[in-house]
Amino acid sequence: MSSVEEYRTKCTFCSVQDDIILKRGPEKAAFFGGNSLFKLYYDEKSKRGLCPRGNFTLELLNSPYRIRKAELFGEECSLEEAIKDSVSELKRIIEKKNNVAILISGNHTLEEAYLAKKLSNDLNTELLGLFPFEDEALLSVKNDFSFMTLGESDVAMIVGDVFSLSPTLARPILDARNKKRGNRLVSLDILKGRVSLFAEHFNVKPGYMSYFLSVLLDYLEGNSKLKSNETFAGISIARIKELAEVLRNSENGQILFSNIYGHFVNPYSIVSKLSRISEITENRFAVIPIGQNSLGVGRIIGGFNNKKIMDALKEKKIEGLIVLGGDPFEFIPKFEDIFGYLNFVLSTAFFKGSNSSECIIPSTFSFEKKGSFISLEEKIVNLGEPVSPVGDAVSDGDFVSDLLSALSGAKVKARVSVPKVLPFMKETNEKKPSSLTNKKYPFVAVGMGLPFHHDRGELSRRVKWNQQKNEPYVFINTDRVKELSLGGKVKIETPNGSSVFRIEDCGNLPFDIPEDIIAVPVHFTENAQLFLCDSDSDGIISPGAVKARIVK
Amino acid sequence: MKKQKAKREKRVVLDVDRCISCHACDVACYESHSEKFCLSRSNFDITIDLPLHCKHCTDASCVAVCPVEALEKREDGLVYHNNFRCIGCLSCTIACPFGVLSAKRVRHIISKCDLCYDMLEEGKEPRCVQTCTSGALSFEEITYEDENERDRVDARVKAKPWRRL
Repeated sequence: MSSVEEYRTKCTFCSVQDDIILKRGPEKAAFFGGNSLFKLYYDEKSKRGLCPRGNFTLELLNSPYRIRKAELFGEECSLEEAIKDSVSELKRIIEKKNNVAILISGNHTLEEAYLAKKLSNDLNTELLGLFPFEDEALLSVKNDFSFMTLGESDVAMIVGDVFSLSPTLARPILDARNKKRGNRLVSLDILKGRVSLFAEHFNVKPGYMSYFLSVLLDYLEGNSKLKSNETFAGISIARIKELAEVLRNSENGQILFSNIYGHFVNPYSIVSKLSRISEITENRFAVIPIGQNSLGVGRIIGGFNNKKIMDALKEKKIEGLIVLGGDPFEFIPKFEDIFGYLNFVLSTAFFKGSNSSECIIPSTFSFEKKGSFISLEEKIVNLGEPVSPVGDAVSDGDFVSDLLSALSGAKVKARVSVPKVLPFMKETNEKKPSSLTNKKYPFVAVGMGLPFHHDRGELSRRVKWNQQKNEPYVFINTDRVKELSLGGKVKIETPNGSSVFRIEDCGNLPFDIPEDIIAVPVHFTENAQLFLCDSDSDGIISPGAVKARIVK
Repeated sequence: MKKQKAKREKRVVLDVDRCISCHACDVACYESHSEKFCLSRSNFDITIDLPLHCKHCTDASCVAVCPVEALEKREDGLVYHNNFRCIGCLSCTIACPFGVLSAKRVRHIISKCDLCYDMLEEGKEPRCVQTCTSGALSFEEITYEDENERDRVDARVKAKPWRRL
């Protein structure tokens, strides 16, 4: 057993990038030993542990449902064959001067992002985009954050439910709150979440967060004359003033923003306003993306291109689509319709899902490849020698590199430099939004993250660890369910589309669901039908809360 | 009463003011115990959803009632559950004064916390404690001032056993 060695790596699930220790045997094979199936070790240095998703990290390595062989038109083939066919298809599309779009997930390394950029140059296309789409709104921020200073903050203002999306940040945040009498933890969200249980919570109306922050910003800048009897977005003026004073008087404050699919409307405006609030009040500001390295990948892409890609897809101006690190059927709403006219779809993926792309390449997790990431603390993190990938799985970097070699004949090597933060775009004037609810649509569908969705196979809306298909569910206020005499299942309809959901017991949540809200856990692919995938008023694609109704 | 020598034992302690109900402890336990949930959860009302750990009682009721001696109190303080002896009669789940033994059988037997003794042997803490995201769980030495105090605590537990029937 002396050949078994410990290898430090990072959890693949979110941008917090918690440390894990993996045991590996001869030839870098992941080691599964002891009296349990897996031997997972937590890095005691970081003292942050792992969230429920992170605890499944090793299971993902050896999952029987991972794609192990490349597939062409549904038939297994060798990697060489897949590359050869892909290159001939791509060459044919370029020769006809048609467009190819590339979407790359935020879970890639900087090197892979560089190669994807190179591929877009070689394919003569500007259409290189980042997914998950909600992370694009965060690319203009340079994080001012460290785990150590977070634990020392006298004021922490959390916008969004950080404890649900990145639970391992809970320890430093609660440490900071408990450190000294008078330290404050403030939560701003459109729905109560796990942070609100421990914080002074400001429940802003869905769709109004950007407007609420503009009122707060105006007050901080001394531009507003607020009357004492006014309320903004459901918050009284006295509380807005109190919040402003808390932020102003903090000596070592931290503002954190975290978004998820279908949650905040106009997240780019929210980020921009929070950035200015942090400047005025001299607090640190950081964003927490969903993708492990979205900040790095997005900055290398160097633009906000998702709107162009989605518009081109809808207008049928694209003939080929390359999706690195995901299944387009799972995250692009109504992709079935788009798929019909695309001549070539290539995707790299970990698991067999609904994927029916022409070419599927088995992909690797971050602990199966070398590369560098940008951490939340804005440091370059290098992952050294990985464990061996399963089957024919190949890192997207190696695959794109082979593709580039076959396209141009020259071997391409990734060069990595620290990518620049994108400048803020010009902001549109903030107008008071109209209410999301009306007579026809009395509810608001709000995307919510859960820290756990482990027991039935869905780890996230992008990764399934087994093929059990769980029934998608939503949370609706218990009294409202009784009042409307709803059965076990409901059809939720929004202006964008509809899906059928089971009504889950709200008792499984540690907080209440308001009467007019339908809280939709975002890890089900059925949710994509509900939320908008058009550009918002900021001009970027970021699905937010949307008006909804229940069809019995 | 003559004071006896103080005894130290380590137990998993929950700080209820820090638990964010993320279930990381559940998953760590589930993954490392052949897909059995060895932790129970309390659901007192909508706002409280906390992990419940076996207290590894000094004079454990579950050990006393087990008809096949599948449960034993070890010298290191651990109340150990022998999977091969368990017949799944659920007597222990009824006897447990804290309600931490779940009446849900997994593969005909009960599931019970073993404090991740494989980790303890390596000088590490139980997995639920290591993985806890908010620092709510800790593995701490429980020090009784003397043996008599521990006996008094045990007597209180015995006097008011909680029944889940």
